[in-house]
Amino acid sequence: MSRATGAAVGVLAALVVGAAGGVAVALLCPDPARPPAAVLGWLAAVWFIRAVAVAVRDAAAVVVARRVTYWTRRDLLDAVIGLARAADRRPGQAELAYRASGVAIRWEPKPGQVVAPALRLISVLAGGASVTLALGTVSPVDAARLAAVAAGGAVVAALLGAPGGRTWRARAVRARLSGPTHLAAAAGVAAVAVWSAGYRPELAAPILLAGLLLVAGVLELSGVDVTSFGRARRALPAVAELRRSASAVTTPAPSVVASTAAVAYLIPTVGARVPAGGRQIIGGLADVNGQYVREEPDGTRRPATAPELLIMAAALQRLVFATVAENLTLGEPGTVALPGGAAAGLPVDRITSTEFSGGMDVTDDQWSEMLAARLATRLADPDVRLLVLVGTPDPAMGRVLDRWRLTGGTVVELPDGDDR
Amino acid sequence: MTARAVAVVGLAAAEGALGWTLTLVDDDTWPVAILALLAAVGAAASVPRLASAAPWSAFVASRLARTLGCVMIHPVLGAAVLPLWLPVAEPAEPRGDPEAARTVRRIVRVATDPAARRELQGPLGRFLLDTHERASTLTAETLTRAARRQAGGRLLHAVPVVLALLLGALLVDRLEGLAMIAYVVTVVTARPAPPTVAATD
Repeated sequence: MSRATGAAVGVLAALVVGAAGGVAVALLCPDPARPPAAVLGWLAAVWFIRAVAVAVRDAAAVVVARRVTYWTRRDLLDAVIGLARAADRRPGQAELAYRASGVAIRWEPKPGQVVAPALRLISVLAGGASVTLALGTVSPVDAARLAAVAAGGAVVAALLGAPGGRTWRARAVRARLSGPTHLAAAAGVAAVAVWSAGYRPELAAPILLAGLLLVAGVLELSGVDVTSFGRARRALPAVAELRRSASAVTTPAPSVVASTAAVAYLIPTVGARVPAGGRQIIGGLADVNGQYVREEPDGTRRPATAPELLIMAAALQRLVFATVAENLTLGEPGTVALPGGAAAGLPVDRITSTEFSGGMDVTDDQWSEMLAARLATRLADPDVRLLVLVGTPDPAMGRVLDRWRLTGGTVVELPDGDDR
Repeated sequence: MTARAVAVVGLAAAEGALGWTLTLVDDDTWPVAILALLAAVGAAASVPRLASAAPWSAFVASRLARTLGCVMIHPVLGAAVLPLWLPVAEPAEPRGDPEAARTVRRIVRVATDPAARRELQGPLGRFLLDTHERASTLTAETLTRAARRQAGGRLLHAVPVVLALLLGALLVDRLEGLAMIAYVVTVVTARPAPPTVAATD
């Protein structure tokens, strides 16, 4: 079920929930052609249809909410990764990404949380309208009075309880006001319903049922999470702005190629330490036309498609995912042996975070070994002959690089500059 | 223990008041009775939050009070409300896979960490997207299944009320105006049944 279909089903079910109230009120309106037993039977049918609609509405809300959050998150991840690979970078983008992730995903309120309150709101509004219409066909004055009191009370209660305060104390006071003001509004609707029924004894049953449904609607409004609307209003545009920003930057077609050219260009100027044996390879990385060439051991050059250069940050991210393999290989095929002491202290395939069930926390030394192992999985590719390391490796990573140098690899260390 | 007992007694009293006011609805003083009826509905709706600690005794007290109230409207209705005694539990809220949710939080945290920018250019970016896709699919499957199960459970949960209304229609052919709405209110406002034995898993 796509997002649009799910939303349509949810809205339709919410409208049916609302309309069921009006039908029930219309059933109770006096009509000599309808015997009381038939009224009860129809009421049972309406109640069942309403229960079906409520179940469908809430199931659709769950599914649609998940999809809205999922697509917002996808947009955010695509934009952030696109920005990281971008050739040109503007100053505000890091802040933009942080803000978008903050309001949208990273902290608890997710944009999908707006779906369920919105559907409930539709149900309540449709219910109020249908009940008023049904009662209005037999007694417009009573219907108008009830609807006015219910709508006015709900609006006043919503305004008094809206989270508009500047300080947390003001917000807390307003949040605490919300329940009692809705109760007062509901009590007002109930009192008006009883008073109206007293004047029109022949219409007492529909008026009282209408009053009861409006009271339930006003009370349900107090449970609708108003703040979720404001959150979604802030979050969705922030993510959209980030997406626009990410699509505006020029992304080099295969990112590694551009980086290779940049590094080949940069190495003479930044004064990097190039170990012996590395120069020829750098010279052979790209010819004057920018075409990749690979230098064979016998000195011949032939065009190459696979980049043989690997650019890596010396300070790798500590990825705390569920399995050791995920943290080490980043989903690359092939297994990796944990080097040195890490293997002894860390049962492989144990989960490396206490956040996951059955997980354990890993010490700094073990992390260092694991990050070195992650580097080793990248270096296992025989095509990679040159590694450009941004920053200074720690001892465990240094040991892996030393071993790799013995097999003929070349390491270029670039100083860890601020940006690029 | 005392709080539970108070809650159960309070619930029984509120619903007993509901039942008692139903007997008054045909009197001359019925507007007062209706006001009391609405107050009793309100009380019966707010007490369950207190009584939720003692689900079974609260359930029995509530159903007893409602049955008595309906018998006072019309003796046959005592049989009509019997379906309300069916212990059909309200289904649990649908939840996704908690570990997948944690993984997704980690992915977003790593992807938006400024320190990870340089690594995102390499295989890390692809890995994060792949893992996000996998975790989201897992969550989607779990959630959709749970939502479907909850929808079915809620339909089952509505069955006793529907049965009670239908039985009322079959058993009582002369249930006029206010007496009928009193019966409908009694049946429709019945609070959910307590969780069944399956609550242990």
